Amino acid sequence: MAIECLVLGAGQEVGKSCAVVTINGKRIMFDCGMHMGYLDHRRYPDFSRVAPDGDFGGALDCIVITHFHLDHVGALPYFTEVCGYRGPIYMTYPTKALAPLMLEDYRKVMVERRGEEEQFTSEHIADCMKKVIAVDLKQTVQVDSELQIRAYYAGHVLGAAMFYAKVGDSALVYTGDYNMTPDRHLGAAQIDRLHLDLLITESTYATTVRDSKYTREREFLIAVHKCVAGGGKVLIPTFALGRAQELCMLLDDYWERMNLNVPIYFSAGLTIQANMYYKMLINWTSQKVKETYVTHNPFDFKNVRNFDRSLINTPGPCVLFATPGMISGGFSLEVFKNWAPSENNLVTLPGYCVAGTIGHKLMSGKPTKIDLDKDTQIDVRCQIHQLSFSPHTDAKGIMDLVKFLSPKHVILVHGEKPKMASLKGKIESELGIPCYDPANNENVSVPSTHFVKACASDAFVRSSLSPNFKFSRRNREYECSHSGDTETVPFLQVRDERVAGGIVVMEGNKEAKIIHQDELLHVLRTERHEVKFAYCFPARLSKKNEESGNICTDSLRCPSRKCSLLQALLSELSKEFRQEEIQDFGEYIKVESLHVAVCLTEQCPYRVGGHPLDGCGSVFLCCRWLAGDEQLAWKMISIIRTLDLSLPI
Amino acid sequence: MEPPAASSGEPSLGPLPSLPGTPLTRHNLASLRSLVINPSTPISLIASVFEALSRHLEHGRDPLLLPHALKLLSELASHRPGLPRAVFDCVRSRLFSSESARAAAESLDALALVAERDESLSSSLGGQFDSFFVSLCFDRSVSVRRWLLRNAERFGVGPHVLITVFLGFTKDPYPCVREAALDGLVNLSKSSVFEDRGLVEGCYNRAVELLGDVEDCVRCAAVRTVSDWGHILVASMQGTEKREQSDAIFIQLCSMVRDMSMEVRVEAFVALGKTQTVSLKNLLQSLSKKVLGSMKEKRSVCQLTGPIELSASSVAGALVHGFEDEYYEVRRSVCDSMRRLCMISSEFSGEAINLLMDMLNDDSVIVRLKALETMRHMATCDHLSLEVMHMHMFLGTLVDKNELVRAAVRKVLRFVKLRDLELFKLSVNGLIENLETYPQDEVDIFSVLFHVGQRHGNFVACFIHEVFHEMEPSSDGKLSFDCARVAALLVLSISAPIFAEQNIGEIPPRVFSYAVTLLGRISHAVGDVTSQNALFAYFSQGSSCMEDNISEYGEQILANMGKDGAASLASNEINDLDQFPLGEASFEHTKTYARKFWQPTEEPKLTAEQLQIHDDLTESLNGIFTKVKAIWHLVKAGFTNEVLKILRVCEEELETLETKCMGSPALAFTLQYIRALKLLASVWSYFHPTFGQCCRVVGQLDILLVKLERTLRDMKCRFTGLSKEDELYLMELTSVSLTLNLSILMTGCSYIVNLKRLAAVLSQVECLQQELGVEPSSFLSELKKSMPDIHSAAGSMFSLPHFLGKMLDAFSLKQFELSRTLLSLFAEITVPDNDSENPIHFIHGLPVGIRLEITLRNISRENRLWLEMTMGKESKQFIFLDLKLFGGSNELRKVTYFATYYKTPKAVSFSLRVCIGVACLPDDIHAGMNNGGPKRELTYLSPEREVYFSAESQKLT
Repeated sequence: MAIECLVLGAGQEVGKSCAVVTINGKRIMFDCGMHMGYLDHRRYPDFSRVAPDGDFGGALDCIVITHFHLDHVGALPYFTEVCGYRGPIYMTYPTKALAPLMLEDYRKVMVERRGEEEQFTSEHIADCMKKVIAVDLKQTVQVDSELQIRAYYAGHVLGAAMFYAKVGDSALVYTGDYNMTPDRHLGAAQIDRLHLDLLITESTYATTVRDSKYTREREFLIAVHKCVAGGGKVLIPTFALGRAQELCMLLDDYWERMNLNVPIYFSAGLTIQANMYYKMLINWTSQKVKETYVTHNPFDFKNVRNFDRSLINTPGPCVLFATPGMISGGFSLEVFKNWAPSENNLVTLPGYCVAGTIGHKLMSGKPTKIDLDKDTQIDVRCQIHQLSFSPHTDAKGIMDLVKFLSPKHVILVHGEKPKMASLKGKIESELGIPCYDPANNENVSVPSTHFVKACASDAFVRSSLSPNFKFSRRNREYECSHSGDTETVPFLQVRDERVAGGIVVMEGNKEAKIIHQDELLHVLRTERHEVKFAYCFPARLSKKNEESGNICTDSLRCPSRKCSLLQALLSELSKEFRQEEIQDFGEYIKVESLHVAVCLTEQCPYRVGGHPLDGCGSVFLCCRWLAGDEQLAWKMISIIRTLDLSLPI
Repeated sequence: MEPPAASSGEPSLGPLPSLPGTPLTRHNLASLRSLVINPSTPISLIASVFEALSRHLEHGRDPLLLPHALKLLSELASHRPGLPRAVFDCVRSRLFSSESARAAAESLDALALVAERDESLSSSLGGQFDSFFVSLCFDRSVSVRRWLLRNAERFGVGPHVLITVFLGFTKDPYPCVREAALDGLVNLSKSSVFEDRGLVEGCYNRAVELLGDVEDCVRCAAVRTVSDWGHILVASMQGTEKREQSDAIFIQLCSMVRDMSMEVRVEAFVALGKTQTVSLKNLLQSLSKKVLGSMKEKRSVCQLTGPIELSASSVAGALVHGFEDEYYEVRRSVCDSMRRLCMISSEFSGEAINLLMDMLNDDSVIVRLKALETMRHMATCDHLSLEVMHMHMFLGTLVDKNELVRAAVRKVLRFVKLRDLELFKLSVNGLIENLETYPQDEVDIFSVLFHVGQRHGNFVACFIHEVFHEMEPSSDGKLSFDCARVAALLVLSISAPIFAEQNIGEIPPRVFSYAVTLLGRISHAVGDVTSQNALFAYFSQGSSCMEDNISEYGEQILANMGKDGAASLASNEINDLDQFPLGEASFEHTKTYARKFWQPTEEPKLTAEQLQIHDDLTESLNGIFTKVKAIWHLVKAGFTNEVLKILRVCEEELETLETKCMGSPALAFTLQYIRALKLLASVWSYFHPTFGQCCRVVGQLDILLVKLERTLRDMKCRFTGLSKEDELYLMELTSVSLTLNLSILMTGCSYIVNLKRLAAVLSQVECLQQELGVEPSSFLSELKKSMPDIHSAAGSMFSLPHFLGKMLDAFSLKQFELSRTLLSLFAEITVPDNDSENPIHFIHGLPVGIRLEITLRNISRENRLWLEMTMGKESKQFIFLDLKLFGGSNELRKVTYFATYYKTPKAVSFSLRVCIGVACLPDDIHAGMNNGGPKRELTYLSPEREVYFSAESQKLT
């Protein structure tokens, strides 16, 4: 059977994450996001592909949401309430708590500000959330008798999770967005070593390799410290959740350590509420926060106070966190208007600003004047500091995760096409894992694992109880560019023979069974057969020796002569085959199952060529070997044929 | 039938005929144990116990009882000399007939236990159980297998057998067994040497395979194994091969730093910190997440251990990832491993410092401290090059809230070489800011400024030139030396010229006269370099600006401190003693520690008359000393009783003298000495070969030793004014007593404590000897030589008594020369209006105040006095007596002191014993009083006074 992955969104683009995976007959939808860049039908995934007849309940077994960002959850109320999906929806507790806030906020903006027709109502959101089943980290949820899912910590935002899904013997992980480096308030993604058939990973920064986060932190702190030391005011426009808490923690720590007493303010509203969520969901934050929690709640910022509008024009330095992040309006714009004209002040900008916002204008070259509308013009003299914090993992993080999980296949989503292609090449060449980067509405099919159940015989179980290991010298070939050819060097290896001692037997339609190798003959009710090869050929002896002594088979009847011939052979062979163990048994020499002896039978049935070759004595060597060592035997024989076994007399 | 109970009651009873032959029960075994550990159980009874136990081993059918019986047997062997061999043979014969693997393992354990206590047995162990051990390992019980692997080294199995077993079991399907096998390999690599290259490679390669194991614990162990066996492999290689192999190990370890398990990551960084050699390009790559150009070029070298895929990408940014880690444990271990890596290359250090600087912004204090410690190491090996861009972060730490962090930054500054004037200015200003914010750091800041000034003489001159006007009197003629900044600048300006002659002209001479006003503070801060007098002389010379003399004084001070800075380095260490626990306190450290405490104390000044008065007495005392000295060979010959008699006579003689000249300290001292000798002689008799160990009760020896030590401590603490030679001798006596203490069989922590104390005493002795320039006595030199042996013998005590006995033979008595008049510390307590008839009224549960009249003689400020109040046997309360409360001089202080006793009992009446003690010098590393009392043992200075309390009011008023 195969695993089918239908990418409905975020295929070679960033936005509306949605992937429907069919695994051993079960269908799971991972994420149900909307695209913020479109206002038409392209904003939602094309759900009709999931179930052309509209019976989503029958077509899908469950929906899994990784985190509360709108490009991962935005289409959910539409899908459940408008399209009519009725099945179970899984998300983590924080996501369940925060997603409705985000959805409601979005709905308000859409309907109230832009005057658009609403896609879903507040009631829709509330009803949709009622269907949600919240899960905890590493909690294995049995969706039905076959399908089980499990959430792993993903960093990124509060409550973000990677999901592991398993049906029968096939398993996959869908990462959602994740971060492999911890920040001040969230930890790094954390997952177990799992046996996976498929990994579906985001690839937002498929080619970027970010350097130490400390550089960014340091630059930010130095900028802020310099500004307040010079008596200036710092405006930090942020989104309510995530960045605000991280920066605030950073500043609060720094303040604490440096004994600074310049006030830090939080503008009222969402931020306070957001802090409350963080305080409740301490378990989802970073290790450091959890450790600090023993003594005090790190989200009870020591140096942070609430801001009052009247403080805007109070003289003296201060730091202010205000929403929204891109200075697109609201409180941050109001403060910006007041503070921008002074060159003592500082405004920090988030890493990404939508075109058209003041943030975007400030980012693209430093303007001296900004036209707010026809009547107002802001004189911008303040300093600008651009933040480059990102909660997404970089290319190295993706590679590290793929390497750690070592799945059989990788699918990249949530990224830009050319960059994804580059990462895809890297995964295939460096890790040797087949990788795909499907576009939207494309279907990828990868083979799934299916284990066959086999019972074990008593003898095999018994033999497996006690350890049984074996040492061997194996050859490992490696390339050596000094000489340009391959050379083999033996190295010591240890094997456990217990597994090798078992043999899988499948009889007709019966179940497979593993038996011990000694039982095989008994089970098959046959006797042991061995195929042996034999080959008898004349040995090459140089003329010199022929002249000096009349060598014939007769003279070889003397055991010492025979031995010396074999010994000569042995020493020659050991030079040629250094890694093989060649044993001397007097009468014959033995390599694996190959016996080489001097043939004393006149009428040897295996003899090739009745007469000695020209220039050779009439000495024949008889070789016998088992079928398994055929290659080795012929290699040896061809070497022996070239050897000159001059006999020392 | 209860034979054990009956027999323990009457030890004189003969062996009970019924004891052997009865099947043992758990209860029986418990009673047998009490017989075994009781030292007065007669030999015959022990023999029958042994017989019963061995019979049980042979015929006992209850597998549950077996471990108890074996335990008892091993105890029997450890308590009774002569039995180990018999026990060993008995268990051994049982061993080979064990029916289950668990039973066999338990027997093996017992054998190992017995053998560990007996030298002859342990040496005969070698190879005896090899095949048995191996066959037991192949048994199907997993827990036994794991236990055997974990304990393999105890059974004397040959290393070549062990390595095969370990290597094989790295294939075991059970992760715990794989882990044990890998750990076994790691231990083996430390204890044995393997020549076979193929074998070493096999182990290394197997460990590399297991780096990809599914279980965290196995991966952890695999990282350790890769590191250790990799280094063995590297050691056996030469040239290019060696370089490539070191790189290969580095790459393997780096590939583990992105593991999902925190333990594995920590282990990986610990292993990286052991790197010995690695190519620079790999090192530099570990600092950058982006693959560097030098790594991109196609690897054109032979990979010894097979193709290592992704070598560049696994190394890339390995250390950066460590620094960014979520867990402080990981970040801490990265900082640690950086220390080693930075020593490898200065170019790497140059890059690494950028990352390390960022760790100063870490939220964990531990990490910040570790980062600073690493920087200090870099500075000492001159690999620390600070840039202006670092300074904000670096100097920002100077105002850190945590004082340890601040001290650590200053320590870095002390050693760092600043490249230009700008850095110098920034650093000095940083230090001044530190001083202004945290005035409590003054001593250290002055000292650091002084050191920085010394290292950067010409910068000082330039800098002082710029800021000189700040030190000058302001327009209204006021000098502002109390301002922190000016004080700091003064320290800086006087620091440089001392050591750099070319600067002499450049520092205005007025500075020196200004500096005189701060003489006390400065000399306190730089006390490690020079003394106050020298400093003062230097200031006065400096202010009169006589160049020749200045350089002369400069040299003098230079000579004092040792130009190479070794001394100053050592003394710097002293200031930060409290941070030592991070590392293991080495002998060197103990030495400097001792040196600090051994600064010359002021000698008591004596008038001529006093000297005269005591002359006669001194003479007669010296006579006694000579007499006593001669007795030592008698002690050695075993005439203990005769010696004791002689000493008793001496004691009586002294007592008669005492009636003549009351309260003479010298007399009291001599008396104490005689008592100490008496104790020493009695103790010695226990170690005498003919009177052997077994004939006396060990418990008494313990008591004697404790008494001896207390007497010696008394002599040391209660008397001041001993000559250095005498002090040295006292310490020798102390070390004899400690050595004797080591010789009686002691295990565990008390043994270790004793060992530490011995080491501390020895280091003090060494300092004194250096100071006096005398050769150590034969005993001391013997002892010093065998210290490492004693240390290594700590685990296995079997050979110790014999071994120490030889050393003690080298000891002989010397003579005290009481050439000066001694002073003895003395305290007296009186409780006015209190006796059993007039008790103090108290209400139980509430504290009660006690009015004490305290008289102290010859007690100086350095002595730390404690008031001890004892009720009953155990309950003690301590109060620290602050001498500031006392008026008067060192000779005599008197005060009325109100002590409060808190733990008033629920009783109608009770009595307290009060006395005053002085805390002893630091050779007693912690007496372990934890109830708010003194950290060191007390020597009592006053006789005990009893104070009476009653709950009933005496009179109705």
